[in-house]
Amino acid sequence: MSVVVRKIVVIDDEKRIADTLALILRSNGYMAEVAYDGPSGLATCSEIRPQLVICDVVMPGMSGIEVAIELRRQFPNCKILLYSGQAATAQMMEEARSRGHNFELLAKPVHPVQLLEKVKALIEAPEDVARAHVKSPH
Amino acid sequence: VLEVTSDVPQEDTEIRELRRLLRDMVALATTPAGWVGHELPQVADGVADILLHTLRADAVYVSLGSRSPTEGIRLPAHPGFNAEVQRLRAEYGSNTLVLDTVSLPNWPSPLRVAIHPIGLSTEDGFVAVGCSRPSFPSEAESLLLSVAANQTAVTKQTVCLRTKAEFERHRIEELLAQAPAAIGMMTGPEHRWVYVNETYVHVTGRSSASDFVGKTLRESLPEIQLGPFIDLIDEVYRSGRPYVGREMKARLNRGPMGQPEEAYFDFVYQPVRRAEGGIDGVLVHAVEVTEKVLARQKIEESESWLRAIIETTPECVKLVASDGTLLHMNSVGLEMVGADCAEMVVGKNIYDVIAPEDRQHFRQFNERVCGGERGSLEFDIIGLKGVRRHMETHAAPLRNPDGSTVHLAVTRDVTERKRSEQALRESEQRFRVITEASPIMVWMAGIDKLCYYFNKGWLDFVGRSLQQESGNGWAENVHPDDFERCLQIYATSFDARKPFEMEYRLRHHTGQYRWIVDHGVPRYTPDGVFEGYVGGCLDIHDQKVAAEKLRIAAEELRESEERYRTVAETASDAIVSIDESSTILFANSSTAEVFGYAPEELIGKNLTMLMPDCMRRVHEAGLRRYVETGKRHLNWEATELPGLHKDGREIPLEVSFGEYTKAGKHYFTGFARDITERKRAEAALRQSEMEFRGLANSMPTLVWMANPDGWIFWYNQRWYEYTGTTPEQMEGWGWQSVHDPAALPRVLERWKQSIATGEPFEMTFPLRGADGQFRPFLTRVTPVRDLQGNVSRWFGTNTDVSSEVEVQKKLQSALFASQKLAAIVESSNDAIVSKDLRGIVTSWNRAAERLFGYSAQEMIGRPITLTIPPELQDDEQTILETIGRGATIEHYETIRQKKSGERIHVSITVSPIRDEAGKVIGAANITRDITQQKQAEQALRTTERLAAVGRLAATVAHEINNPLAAVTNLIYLSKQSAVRNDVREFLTSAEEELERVSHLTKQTLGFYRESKNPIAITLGSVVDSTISVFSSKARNRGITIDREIKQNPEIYAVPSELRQLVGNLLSNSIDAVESGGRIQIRVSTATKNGLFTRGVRLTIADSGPGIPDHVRTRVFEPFFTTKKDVGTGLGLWICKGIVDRYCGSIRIWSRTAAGKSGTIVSVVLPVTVQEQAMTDALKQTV
Repeated sequence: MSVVVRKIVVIDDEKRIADTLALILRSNGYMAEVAYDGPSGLATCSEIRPQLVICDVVMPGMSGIEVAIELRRQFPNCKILLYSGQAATAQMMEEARSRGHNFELLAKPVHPVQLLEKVKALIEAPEDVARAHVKSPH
Repeated sequence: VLEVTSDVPQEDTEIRELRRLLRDMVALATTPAGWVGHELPQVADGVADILLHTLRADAVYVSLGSRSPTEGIRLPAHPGFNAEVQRLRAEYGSNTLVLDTVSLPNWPSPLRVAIHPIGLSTEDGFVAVGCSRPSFPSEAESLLLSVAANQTAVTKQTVCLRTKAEFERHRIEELLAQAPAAIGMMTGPEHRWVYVNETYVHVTGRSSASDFVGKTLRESLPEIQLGPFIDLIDEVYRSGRPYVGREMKARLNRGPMGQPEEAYFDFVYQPVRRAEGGIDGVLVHAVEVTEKVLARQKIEESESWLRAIIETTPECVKLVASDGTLLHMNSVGLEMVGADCAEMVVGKNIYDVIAPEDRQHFRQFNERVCGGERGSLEFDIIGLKGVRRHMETHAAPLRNPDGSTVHLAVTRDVTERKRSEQALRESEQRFRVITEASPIMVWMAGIDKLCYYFNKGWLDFVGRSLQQESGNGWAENVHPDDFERCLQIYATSFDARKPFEMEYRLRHHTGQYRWIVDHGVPRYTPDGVFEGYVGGCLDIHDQKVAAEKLRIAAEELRESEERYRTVAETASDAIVSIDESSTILFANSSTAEVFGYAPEELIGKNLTMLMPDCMRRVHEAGLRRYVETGKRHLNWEATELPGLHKDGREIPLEVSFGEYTKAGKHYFTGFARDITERKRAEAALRQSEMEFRGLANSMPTLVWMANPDGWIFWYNQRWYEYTGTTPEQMEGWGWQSVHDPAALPRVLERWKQSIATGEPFEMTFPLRGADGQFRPFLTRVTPVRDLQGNVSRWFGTNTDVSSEVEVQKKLQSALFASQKLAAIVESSNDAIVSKDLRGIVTSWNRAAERLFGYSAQEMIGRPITLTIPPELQDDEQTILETIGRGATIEHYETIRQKKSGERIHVSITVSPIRDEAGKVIGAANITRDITQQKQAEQALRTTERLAAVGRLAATVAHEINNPLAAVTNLIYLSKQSAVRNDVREFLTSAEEELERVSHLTKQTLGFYRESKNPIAITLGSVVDSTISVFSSKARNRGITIDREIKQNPEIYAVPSELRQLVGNLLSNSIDAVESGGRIQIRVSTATKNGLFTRGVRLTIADSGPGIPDHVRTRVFEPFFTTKKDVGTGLGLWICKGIVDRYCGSIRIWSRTAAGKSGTIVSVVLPVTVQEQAMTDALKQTV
């Protein structure tokens, strides 16, 4: 019998936010990894193949939307949740939408309880669970 | 299938075998495919094999076609069998069934032989069977033989036909393969190739037939899908009707690198039918005509090009055959010959339009050209409409493709040129005749001032040749004393192109210098090019001398009279005294000069000896009557009487008489003066006058003379030339006919006045020229007075002053322009005001009336300082000083005051007004109202300030969000690990406070993070969020906001715009309502509202003081505000803009009655089902 391990990668250039969020997720039974910029987040993802990536949008260098587009290309089954506290986000999302990329966005700050509800809803959709069984290396 | 039955008892197996074989044979023969590919010998072999086996015969001989026995085959039964069969056939006849018994050498028993001819013709061959059985053939065997023969015949026929068909097919394929046309055949609805010939492969640029056969049309020639071909073939296949296409364009990938090339083909798509009539396929027959088409296109192109050139050339272009038939003529040509269309002349004989006298020439010319020559010809034509024209043609031979040569000609209408050449020649001729015959001496000089022509009169006068006089030769004969002066006048006038007149002495051929008067005028070509001078000279020597003498004589006479009174003797007049009997008592010495008699010859003689016969009787009678009655028969003072000279000639005398009485007797004294010279001078004067007229005729000015009563008795030639009239028409008062009827009455009035008073006349009026044009003439008429001062004659000149009148017209148009300027000033939007140097208004335009509220009447004559606010009164002094220095003040922004006291921002430009001498006499103020502009600037600054604050707020909010997120997470984690309850409670409180902060930042950002695309949104949600933003403001003022969402349909809208709309309205209400007031907001559906059927209504009602009527009409204007310092005045204007963009409506009701006051704003927005529709609508209105 295989164990269902729900893996989440948190990407945020605000180190404190990323770290605390990872802590919260781990304390709720998820396996959470942290990255502080887009490229290293993508590297982590290809290593551990998470079911969900929570990613800040406005980051120096690679933006969260670019990360999301790349994630969707490489790991079509991986869920993506973007969150941001910046006004410029609306415009970036709109541009992405005009190019055919539609992502879910949460506004910062989001209360951990609400975030966990969202994560649960996204990650525990039945088919994802099934896929996680099959693909799990354990 | 033939069923064979037999009554003859046979073994069952045999019968079965027989039947089987028989069936085989029949099947073999009747199955067309059975023999396909077989040669006739094989057929014969096959039949023989079957028979040999079936009948168990000893020998079988099947011959197919008796004529060529090689086609037959012998089977190996017996060596002599064949020969026996031939013998039997010859014996019985080749077309007969033979049954016989023969003996064969080396054969043990007699042999029964049966021979069945095949088919009906003897040529078809036979089947012969030999068998040792005596009973052979049995009935069944006979039947089988006959069947075999028949079937063989059929088979043979089939094979022959097939062979023939094969051959035909082969032959056709050969033909097709070699055909120059591209041929191919396709079957089925997909058009699958079954055959293409080599040409087809070649024209399509493919390498072999295998690129086609077995493939469909689309597969094999994908490029033709661009053209109509596949559709056409489909149609042929479907309808069964062939399609014939001519010169159809196809693009085929057949270039060297497989690139597409354009090609043209003549096509036939022929349906191929199956035997039963259905369509089996389509035969393609295509002939490439690309080269032909391209060549033709090229020809057409160059032809159309040439045709265009020919058609547009302004000259006649024509083609004429050698027999004179007109082959082509362009439209200009048609017009020349008067043809309305080409058909009227093309194809007809061109000779018909040539003038009869030129026809022969033209015919010869045409034949020469058609014979290969080039050339030119001038000839006359008489067009179809009878108009004669003179033509000049340049022709060249043109070789037709058929070898014939035609005449190509470019022909020009030179009628006008001819006419003018003719006219020129004639006028030159006339001029020459006139000048040669004229006594006037005429000369002409070129533009180099050198004379090149002298008429006969001149040459006769000086007795020299034209050669001698040419250039400056004439100057040699000018009197040295006059030469310098004349040269000066000539050169000066020439350079100024002015007419001149000068008198000088010219040496006559007799050697005498004679006075001549020389008039020179500049000469111009009809188109105004200066050509030189022409001059006319008159010999005025005699009159000059006579006049001089006369002058001297008159002078002398006056002197002599003076002297006479003192010394009669010295008088030049003859003095003779007589008594009553006319006997001469005294004569002075002058009688010798006057009458030729010395005094002593006269004394004692009768006075009548000094009179001609006719006078003597008159004198005697007169004298007698006077002595008797005292009556004089003639005037005693200066009477002209003829006298008789001693030499017998009559002499004109001027005689005065006196008498004295002595001793009752009368004595008379006569003073006689010879006036011969005077008479002669008078005659010379008359002559001179005539000559003057000749001269006047050559003047460019119109000249005329009239009697004292205005009767014009003479005009110069120029008058008749200009007016195109005759002397008969003009005589007296006939000149009125060339006057402008409108101007005539005034001319007549003035002229009659001059006649009455004798005053000179001067006036400019139009005279009609021969061309019908009126030109203005300055007319001067001066009276010529006699000695008594009476007008004896009027002398008039009319000078063309068209050019001066032009100048006047220009002046008038300048005047008009200034009036126009005045009109512009009057209609200008800027206030334009003029004032004098004291600041007193002198003009005040309409815009000034509008701007300041003062009418022109009120302001003119009053100081401009009326429009200046009290504190700025000093301005005007500065302005006037600046203007006084002649400087301009530009765009001076200041404040002015209206009549109503309202203040306005203005931009003023003040410029000095100068008089003609350049002295500044006043100033022009141009004042523009810039109040609106100022307000706009103010509003812009406010808006920008607000926007900057907003941007700052947004930035700060964003910066807060990230720390907030971190803190939220941290508190959450702390709470989880907190053990003590009170700590947990503190943390919960901290979370709540954090929640408030987050909400605040999100609200602040709401306005900034919105997209500009319409989305589905409810007005209710916008109302809710807006209320939450304003709730603290309302709470602070003690204002209650009630919210009611009755229905809340989704609409498509840009959220930020809705927020702005609701926010502005709510903000207005909050500002209006006093503390303790109420605001009610309601959202509900709206019914049909003009433009849309479903809508949502937002109603905001407040209990404020209401909006006064005069304000309510202006609330939607930009920059209108009642809030003085806090408002931009743009809120409702923006709301209206947003509502208009959504095709909605906004209305305001208001009541100001105390206690019941309030304002209701109602906005209705359409509920649009489709997002796209709203997006489009918004785009359109942007």
